[in-house]
Formats: sequence, structure tokens, C-alpha cells
Amino acid sequence: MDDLTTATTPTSIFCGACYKRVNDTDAFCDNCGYPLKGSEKDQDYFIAVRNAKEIDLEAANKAVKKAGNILYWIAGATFLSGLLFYFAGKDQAGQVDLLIVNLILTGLYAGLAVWSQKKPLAAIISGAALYAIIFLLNAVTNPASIATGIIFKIFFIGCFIKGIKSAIDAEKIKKELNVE
Amino acid sequence: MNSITLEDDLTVQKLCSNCNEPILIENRFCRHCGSAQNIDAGQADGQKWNNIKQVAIFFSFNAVICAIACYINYFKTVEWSITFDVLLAIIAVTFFCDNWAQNKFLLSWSNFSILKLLAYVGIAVIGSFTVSFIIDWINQALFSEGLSYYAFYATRSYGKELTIFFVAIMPALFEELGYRGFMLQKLLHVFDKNQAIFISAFLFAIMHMSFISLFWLIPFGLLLAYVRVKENTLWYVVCMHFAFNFTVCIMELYKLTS
Repeated sequence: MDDLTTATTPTSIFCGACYKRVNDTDAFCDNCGYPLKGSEKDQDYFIAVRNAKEIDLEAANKAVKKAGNILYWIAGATFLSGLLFYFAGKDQAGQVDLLIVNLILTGLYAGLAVWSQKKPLAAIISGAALYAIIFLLNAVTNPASIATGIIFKIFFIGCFIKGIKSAIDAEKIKKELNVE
Repeated sequence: MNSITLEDDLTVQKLCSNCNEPILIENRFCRHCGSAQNIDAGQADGQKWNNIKQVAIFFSFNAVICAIACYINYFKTVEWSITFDVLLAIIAVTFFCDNWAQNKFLLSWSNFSILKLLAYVGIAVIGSFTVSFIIDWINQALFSEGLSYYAFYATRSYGKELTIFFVAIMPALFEELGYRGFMLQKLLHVFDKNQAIFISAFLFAIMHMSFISLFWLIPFGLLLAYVRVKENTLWYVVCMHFAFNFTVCIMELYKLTS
């Protein structure tokens, strides 16, 4: 351990990568691992890797946000198709039931979409599960409906899976960069 | 400009996992060698996607079977219903045992307390009565008929016993094994406690494929998940679930015989 009485008091400098205050006696920044005393090559390399990770984090956050927005879109589509089926359908006893079901679904999707702002991973997984159940119910009661809007369905599922993977990646990168 | 000098205060110091030099506990990187101090967390992240995949597979198996059983008329016989129940039970047991090392602690009941058991069962029974009354009211208000579990089995010999077995006993055991056992444990590896509880409850609720019932399925799922996490055992929630379903059975059987 350094003899603190004779050594010069460490001056405070800023880390070149994360701009946190560090001591100039430290070899590495304790906040981000930047090689304060490393060669210029080492330092440039570190910054390059850090920038690359920050770009990846940006991309991951975008994918997560997209999956959250999909939930809003699905909520809206459920609401509209609920109204459509109600007003365009023939007068049957089941019409009101269908409308109520669609309204409940809209509420659920919208609630999950709002929750995705705070807890994206959990909200996306719940939303994807709900979507899967609805798809299954429709497929089982009306097999012809599997094909309707199949492009959208594949797109939605793709966004959900990408969103879940990106949410996990985002958390991993945030830990590596020690941000947030 | 108060730089942090290394005091001999062991509560704020730890050793770098790489070079063993003393650094502060809150340091994410070592001042001496630059290595990250949270390697374990990074490896855990790699497991998260695997855990989510397993939950998704379990969910999909259950969802397909439930959708077929509930909505295709061909399968609405007692024989098929029993087949599906057994299938779901096998799936739950398989997934639970596949992760035996993680899950086996849930089968112990080290904190058994007759008082707690009675209290939890009491809550479940009260909840069951409440839900039944609300459902009856809804059925009268909106529909002309209600769903009867007993009527499904009534034509069989031992109809009452079948009802109790397949409506009260089997779901209590195997749904808890699957949802509060396997699924919740997996989710706890990925999410924090509250999120894991909510997701397991939500998935449990929508699996029953009944929109109206969501209003009590979600709270019931939340309650069971919360008790399981709090008591670290499956047995309290198995008893609660049994008490809940059994109350429903008794109310139906009593109404029909009187």
C-alpha cells in the first residue's frame, strides 16, 4: 500500500471515455475500465470498442421500442376490427359478446403497451403470449383464418422475438458499459 | 475534489476478481488492471434467452392443447377431456423434473404451520365464494345459462368423484407444478420478483381461454404466485388451489342435489 504521507496527493482528472472523475494515479478508470495509463493505441482501441457497443445499444433499444409500439398498433387494430364486426355484422345475440371481448383485448394490449415503456421485456413477453393465444383460438375455431393477414402475423411475431432478444442484449450491454 | 483514498475500512473494500488488488465495493472496473467486476452477471444474461425459450415452449404446448380442448366440438367428450388433462399433467411434470436441481426445493415444506395453512386455505375458500357469486350474477345478467362442471361428468357412474378429481385435485397439483413450479422459477431467473409473479399469473390466466374469467383469474394467479415466492414451497399453493376449486365443486354438487 502506498505511503500516503510522502506521495503527492492524487490529482483529479476526467476519464477520456466516460468523463467520470478519477485519480491520475489510477491505471484504469474504475467506472468504465478505460486505460488511463495505456498507450495511445490501447486507448483508441478501447474507445472504438466502447463506441461500437454504444451503437449496438442504440440498435437494441430501437428494436425494443418497436416491439412496444407493435402492441399499440395491435390494440388499435383490435379496437377497429371490434367496431367493424359489430356494426357490419348481422343482428345476432353473439355480436355484443364479440364486441365486449374485443374491447377487453384492446384494453389488455394497450395496458401492456404502456407497461412496455417501463418494463419492456416483461410487457413484450406478455403481449406476445396474449397474441399467441388469440391466434390459436381463431385458428382452432375458424381454420381458414390462419391465412388471413399472414404477412402481418409473421411480421408481428418477428418483431416480438426481435424485441425480446434485443431487450436482453440491451441489458447486457448496459452492464458492460456501466451506464444507466 | 475529495479523492477516494484507500482507508482500512473493510466494509467499503473488496479484492479485484482478476488481480486481487484492493478496490472499492462499488467499483465496476478495477483501477489497477481494468477488468470488469461483474463477469457473473454477464454469463447469467446468456441464460436469459434460453430460459425464456423454455417458458415459451411450455406455454405453447399448454396453449395448443387448451385451445383444441375448449373450442373443437369433436373433443368435448369426457374421454378426450381426461386424455387432455393427463397430457397436460405429464407436460407439467416433465418440465418440472427437467429442471429438478433448481425446482426440487419447492417440494419440501420446511416451514409447515397449521395456522398459516388454515389462513391461506380460508382466503382461498372466501375468494371462491366471492367469485362464484359474481359469476352467477354475471351469468344471470348477460347469459341465459351458466357453465357447469358437474353436468359434464354427471352422466357417468361416479360422476361426482370424477368431477372432484378432475376439477379440484388434478388442476391443483399439476397447474401449480407447471405454473408456480416450473414457470415461475424460470421467470425468476430472468426477471425481478414482481415482474416474474405478474407474467406467470398473466400466462396462467389467459391459458384458461375465457375472457370474462380474466377478472378473477389474474388476481388468483397473482395471489398464488406471491404465496409461492413468500413461502418457498409449492404445498401451500397446492392446498389453496384445491380449496378454491373444491369449493366450486361443492357449491355445484350441493345446488344440484337440493
